[in-house]
Amino acid sequence: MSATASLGARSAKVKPMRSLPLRSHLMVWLALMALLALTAGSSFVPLGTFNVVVNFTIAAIKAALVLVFFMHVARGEAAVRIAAAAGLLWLGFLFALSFVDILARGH
Amino acid sequence: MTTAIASAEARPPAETPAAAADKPGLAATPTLRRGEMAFGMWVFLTTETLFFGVLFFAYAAMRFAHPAAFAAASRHTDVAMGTLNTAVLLTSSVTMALAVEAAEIGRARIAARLMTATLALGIVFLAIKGYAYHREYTEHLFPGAAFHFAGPLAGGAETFFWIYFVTTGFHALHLAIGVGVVGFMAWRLARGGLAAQSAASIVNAGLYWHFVDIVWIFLYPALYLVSRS
Amino acid sequence: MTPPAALLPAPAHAASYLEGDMSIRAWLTTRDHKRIAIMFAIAITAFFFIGGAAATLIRIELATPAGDLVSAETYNKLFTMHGVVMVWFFLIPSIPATLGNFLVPLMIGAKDLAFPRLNLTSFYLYVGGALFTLAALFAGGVDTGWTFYTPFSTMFSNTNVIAAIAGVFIVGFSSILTGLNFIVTVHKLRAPGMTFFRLPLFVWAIYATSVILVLATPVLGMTLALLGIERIWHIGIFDPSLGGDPLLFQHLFWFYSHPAVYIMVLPAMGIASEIIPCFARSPVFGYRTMAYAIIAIAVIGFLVWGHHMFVSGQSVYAGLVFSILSYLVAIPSAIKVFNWTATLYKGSISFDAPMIYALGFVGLFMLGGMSGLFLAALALDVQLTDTYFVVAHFHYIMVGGSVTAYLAGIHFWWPKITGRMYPARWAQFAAVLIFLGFNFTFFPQYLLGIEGMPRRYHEYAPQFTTLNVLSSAGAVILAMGYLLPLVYLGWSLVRGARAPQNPWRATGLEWTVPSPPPTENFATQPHVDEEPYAYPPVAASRQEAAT
Repeated sequence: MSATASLGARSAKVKPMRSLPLRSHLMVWLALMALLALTAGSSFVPLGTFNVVVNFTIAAIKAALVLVFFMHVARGEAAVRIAAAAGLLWLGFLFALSFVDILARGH
Repeated sequence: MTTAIASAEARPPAETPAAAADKPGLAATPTLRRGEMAFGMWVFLTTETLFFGVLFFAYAAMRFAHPAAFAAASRHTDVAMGTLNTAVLLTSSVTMALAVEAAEIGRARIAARLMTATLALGIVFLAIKGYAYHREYTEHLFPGAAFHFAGPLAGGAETFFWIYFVTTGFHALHLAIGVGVVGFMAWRLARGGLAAQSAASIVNAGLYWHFVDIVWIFLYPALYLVSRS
Repeated sequence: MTPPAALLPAPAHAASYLEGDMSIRAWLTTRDHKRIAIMFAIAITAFFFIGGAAATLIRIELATPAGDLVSAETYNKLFTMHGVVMVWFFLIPSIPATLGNFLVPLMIGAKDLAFPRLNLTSFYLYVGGALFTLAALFAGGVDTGWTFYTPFSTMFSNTNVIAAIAGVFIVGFSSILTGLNFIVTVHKLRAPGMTFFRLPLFVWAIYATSVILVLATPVLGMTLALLGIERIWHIGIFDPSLGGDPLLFQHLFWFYSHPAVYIMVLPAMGIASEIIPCFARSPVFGYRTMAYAIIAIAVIGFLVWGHHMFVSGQSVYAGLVFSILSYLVAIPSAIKVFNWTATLYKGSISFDAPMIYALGFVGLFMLGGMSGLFLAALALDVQLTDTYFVVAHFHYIMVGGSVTAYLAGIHFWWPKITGRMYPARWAQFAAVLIFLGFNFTFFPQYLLGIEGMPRRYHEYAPQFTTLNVLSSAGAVILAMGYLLPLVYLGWSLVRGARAPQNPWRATGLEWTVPSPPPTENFATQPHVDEEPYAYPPVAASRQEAAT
């Protein structure tokens, strides 16, 4: 009936012993290290304002990798994904409306 | 229209655990409990997102107001130590994620070892951070009476550095709490296995640890990479 | 046709939560949401009267134009304490931590909240925060206003700012944990058949309030932390001479403090939605719309904070955006007022005390809300801001609205909570007295604001005297009205008639258990298979009319 049913049903079935997902975690680790190298390295290349864009985009990708592969945000129920999204959306409200003021100050 | 009490008496008496797991409230099972705890931790992390979000907002507003000063000041942070710390923390997230997986499949001893590795990496991070703080303090970059920054951008640079110390300070505080919690759980796990330390709590500790990692993932470019070219 | 479950007799009597271990230790270490609710209720009532004492001194001072009762500095401390105590130690926790705590598990068919120990922690955090604030009070008070605006609070105030904000910071964590508890509880512990759209509107309201608590309060926490850091180390985020921006504080402060007013009013609306259908014997009009309106208020309420900053130096474009959004947030509130009214239409109305309070709530909330429309207009706000018009506006909503609804809820659920009935005539008299006293106190303040009397001054120009005297006289009546419930409710605890299981013949799972409820709430797990507010006579006839 509810979102909790999936969690309950999964554990109620008898499952064979899983082994540790070492390979997938190693892949994510390599990706994170590569992105770190990329963000650090690209900072030393003069791209002007684009540096900020690149750096924060890479940060967002890293964060997404952690959220998806380590925190299993996609595996969780809808309420979990809404909670995660709400935190970010509400920060968006704070930034967006405040910057309407900050950017237009003095006009 | 039937009534609640009449239908309660008409229900079949015995319920399988699987069916009971679908019924929250009075028939709460361990599985359901785990779902509640995990969801509770996600809600808590949402509050932490807003909490740290204020600092990022302050950073954004101040950087917008003092772009040159922020660029100049950021160059005085030690990018090598910052990058190394980022690598350390990202690796600790991998070990923690594996620890959670291990706990969930019942392999308590492996989980305990992975959690020990996680907290060790956390301690390494804090040690490097502490050393960086010490270095910045001796270079008169700690805001206050002893702050000294050559040139006309000193005001904005001091603003940068108070943001730097406050944000990394709150982050380090959260990481230290994480180290303590993970350490305590690893100890209980080593002593008494999953009966002494539930997998559900370890899942929650993992979520918290990854969150602290994500905060740093954004702090790193914000503080260390403002202007390196 | 069989009546709803709530109107059937409860199964055999189990020990109520007020029996069993009644030692102090048992109460202080309880995990029972009902006992925690009682402890919260006692604490917030004490703070209500502390805040009320400050208000009393304010109104005595303002009965004459001269600033002759207290000095200007002392007056600043009085209105600061009044605001800090009333906002954070009474209004924010009031309905959620007392009625919410007590009723939400019962209303959804659960035996407790999701995290009972966290609930107790919330209580102790409240107490801890309260102690810091009392310490600030006894050490000489704070004079910054409850809004703690910089740079006065960070640089120039000589009062106990740090102690006060520490108290608020700590009680903020109490709020966050309470909200977290309710969110998880509503998602996870509903009885079988209790779908989201069968929840009582009070639960919807508490749920939406909890979402606000969880998203807004952390912002306040960090903002106060930054304020403290700035005050101690003069770092310069809010200080223009050091490159900071005082408006940054205001943006951050009001990002929390505007949604905070919805924390105060949404639970009140939830209570109205429980009481009005019961005493009109009529299902609430437009249940789904009411639920969506609650969510809309909670979300849009986060987008309007800049209307507190129209004259702060904020950009005019931001002012424009915030003004438009402020009008938007009025719409779901207005829809709710229409729906309560429509619920009354062709109902069978009785005027028991809870209903008098609930109807008073609707009227006073509407007046307060409408005055908000004036303030949301940029041009008008330039004239009205920082005058008594604003003071009247928010007191109409927070006192005329939230406090009245809180009393409505106390009177409605008192039989369930305590197992006692209070004397009906006394309660009806007090409700009317409060309504009259309230209007006498605060309506003149609208007029004073329009005439230009500024707020936060201990003296005023002589032309404002008459209205101020009227307001202070009204405050006397209001104070008497607030003291009366203490008397007759207290009396009912020892001499009141034993309450039946469902004295108001209301719907809802909380009315299917004995008064007072047993510790475990339900003997057997409830199964819900009926819509909410299924009041028999009118519901049946409306069903027939619809087919």
